[in-house]
Amino acid sequence: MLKKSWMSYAIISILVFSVFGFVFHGDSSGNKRTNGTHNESGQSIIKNKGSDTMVNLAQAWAEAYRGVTDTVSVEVSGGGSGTGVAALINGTVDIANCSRQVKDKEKQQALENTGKEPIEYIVGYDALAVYVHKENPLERITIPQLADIYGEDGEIITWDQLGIANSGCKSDKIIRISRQSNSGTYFYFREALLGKERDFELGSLDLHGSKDVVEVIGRTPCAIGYSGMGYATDHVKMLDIATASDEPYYAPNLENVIAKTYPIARPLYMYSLGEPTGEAKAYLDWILSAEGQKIVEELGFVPLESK
Amino acid sequence: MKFFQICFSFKGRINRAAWWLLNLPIFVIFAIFVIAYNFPTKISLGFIPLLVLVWIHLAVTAKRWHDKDKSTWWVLFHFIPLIAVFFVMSAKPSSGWWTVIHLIAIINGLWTTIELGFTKGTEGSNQFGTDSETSSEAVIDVYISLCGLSAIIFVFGIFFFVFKEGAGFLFKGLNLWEFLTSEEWYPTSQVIKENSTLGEPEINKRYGTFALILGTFSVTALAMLIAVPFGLGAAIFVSEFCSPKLRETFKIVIEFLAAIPSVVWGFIGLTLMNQLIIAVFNAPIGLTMLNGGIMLALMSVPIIVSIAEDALKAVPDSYREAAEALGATRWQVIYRVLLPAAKNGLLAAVLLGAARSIGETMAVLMATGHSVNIPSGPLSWIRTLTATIAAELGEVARGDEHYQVLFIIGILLFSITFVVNLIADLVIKGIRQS
Repeated sequence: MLKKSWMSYAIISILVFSVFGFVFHGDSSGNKRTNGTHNESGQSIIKNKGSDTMVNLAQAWAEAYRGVTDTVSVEVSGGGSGTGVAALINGTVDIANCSRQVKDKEKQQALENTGKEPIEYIVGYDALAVYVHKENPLERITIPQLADIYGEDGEIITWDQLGIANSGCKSDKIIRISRQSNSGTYFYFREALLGKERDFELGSLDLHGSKDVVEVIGRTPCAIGYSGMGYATDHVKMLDIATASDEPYYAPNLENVIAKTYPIARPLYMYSLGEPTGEAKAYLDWILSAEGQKIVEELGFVPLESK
Repeated sequence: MKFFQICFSFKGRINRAAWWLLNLPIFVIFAIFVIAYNFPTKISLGFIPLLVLVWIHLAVTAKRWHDKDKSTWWVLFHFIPLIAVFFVMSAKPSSGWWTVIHLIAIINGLWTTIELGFTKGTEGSNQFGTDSETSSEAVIDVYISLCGLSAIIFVFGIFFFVFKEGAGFLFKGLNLWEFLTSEEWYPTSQVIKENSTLGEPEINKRYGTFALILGTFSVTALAMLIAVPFGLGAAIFVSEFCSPKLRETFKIVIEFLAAIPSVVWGFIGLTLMNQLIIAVFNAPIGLTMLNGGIMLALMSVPIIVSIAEDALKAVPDSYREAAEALGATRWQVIYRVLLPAAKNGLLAAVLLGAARSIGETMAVLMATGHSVNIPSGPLSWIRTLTATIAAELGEVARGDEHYQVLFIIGILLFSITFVVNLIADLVIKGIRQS
């Protein structure tokens, strides 16, 4: 009997203390909420989310930034450009990664929701490479040809029409590899090929990620597809591209993108909510510095300017 | 005592169990509010439901004091920590008052909790009633029925949420006929319609899901074509032909098959099965309906086997013995006696397997090619309704037309599974009556 009551006293005191703990903890964290978030080891956290194209790059930056300062930890997640912008509108991230420009409507939503407007930074360039299987004899292609392959009611449906004998592909039909219809990459590629006058032909394989595109093309001799230049593997080949058949062809490489002669390269953006301050500003400044831009180049993207 | 009396009345007695059963959820809810809304410093209209909880807490506590033959006024002890908390809020954390008030609150809280939650009431009857009326059974009763109701509440809650997100566009703007019968899925088109009026340029976005619906049904049908013979065959083997030792091993292996996450199946489809289909069928690419169908079959076989095996096991042994006594062969026992007797259970197994296939997302997203296409054979690539939602919802702007259409696809899926379940129910009922 005595033992039992001793036990119950212990249980009650734990219970009561935890209830009071909740009350005061809840209060103190509530007051801090406005001054940015911190993790257990007291580092302040920069939340960074968005484009799948940029997720490897963003992670590499975050890792390298650990060597620069140990008071800041950058948390990176992907999910797509739209996801990043949505998080920015809800005010749940500090920096959003975006492989397309934020639309005016989205800027308006962010302003209404949080009272701050997204501020744009161009942090590098991504050249979209057009990939084929490594045994495909095709070396070069023009934008009008691509438009005829991908566009609605396009004329080109076999490899023969491109003037090559693709012996690995028995049916000779071109298999179009694309991306899901609202990814930033899809938007950019469609606009680069067709402007705003035409849609893509249905029936392409709409894969879910830049890496999957290259992976599938590497296994499929009939396939053609587009993805970031940094995703190239040994199983695929990147084509040289010209804006028209009487224009020169350019290979997707650093020099051509920096010289702006390669026709399908796009800027990569980072957006902060309002004018960045404190840790977020320091991080963005570091990304734009020579050190941050070196990482851009290491990951197969194109840095802001050549040195 | 009735449940509502226990909750709201200030008359009568209750025991310790009832006090805890009602107070623990209240403590938990308060703790959540304190954390989520910073309760003591910010008060808004949303807290009115919390006042109800405070009432319940006080009523329960008063009856617990009655149980100990103390008057209702003893409830006032509860306000000491409350007043103390407000003092603490207004005092500077460093002042001496802070510590004193903190101490008073803790001691008072400890004492009342021990008195109310851990010590017995007076035995027999006192001025507030007899101890035979102090049962906590009514509370437990209500909690158990709440658990049962929660399933219904969740189903309706999910349906309500999905419907709410899609309803705006469903009733205003969406051409339902085109949605169901057109194969043109252009949710992000930027092309301006040629014949649009001069005032407002109309964007040629088209939301036709016919190809997606066909994709879902064709891949599910193919999966069932593979899974049903294998699943039922395996179930008959495990239940009728196996030695007990082999049966246990089989069951563990089959359960293991069910435990493989769908994204792993998708990955197998994307790499291994892709290569295999290219090699065997000489297809240009292996990401096809056949690939998705095989993956779905592998995922639904464990469900079919375990439910069908239970159904066969439920057939009484006397049936088997009677059939064998009449000179039936083993095959005749199964074909003439067991299968008809276990009909309902076997049908349920097949339908649950089909439901699993219709609802599966990740594996079909990765394995079928994810291409808007009217399926023309097992080697054509297709896209399903579920995979479309999964692939596109992540990147769509919230509240957008496209976003709402994805939720309308959700409603469509909901309706399909509802109809499948309804048919299953009717079929089973029909079998029972005949």
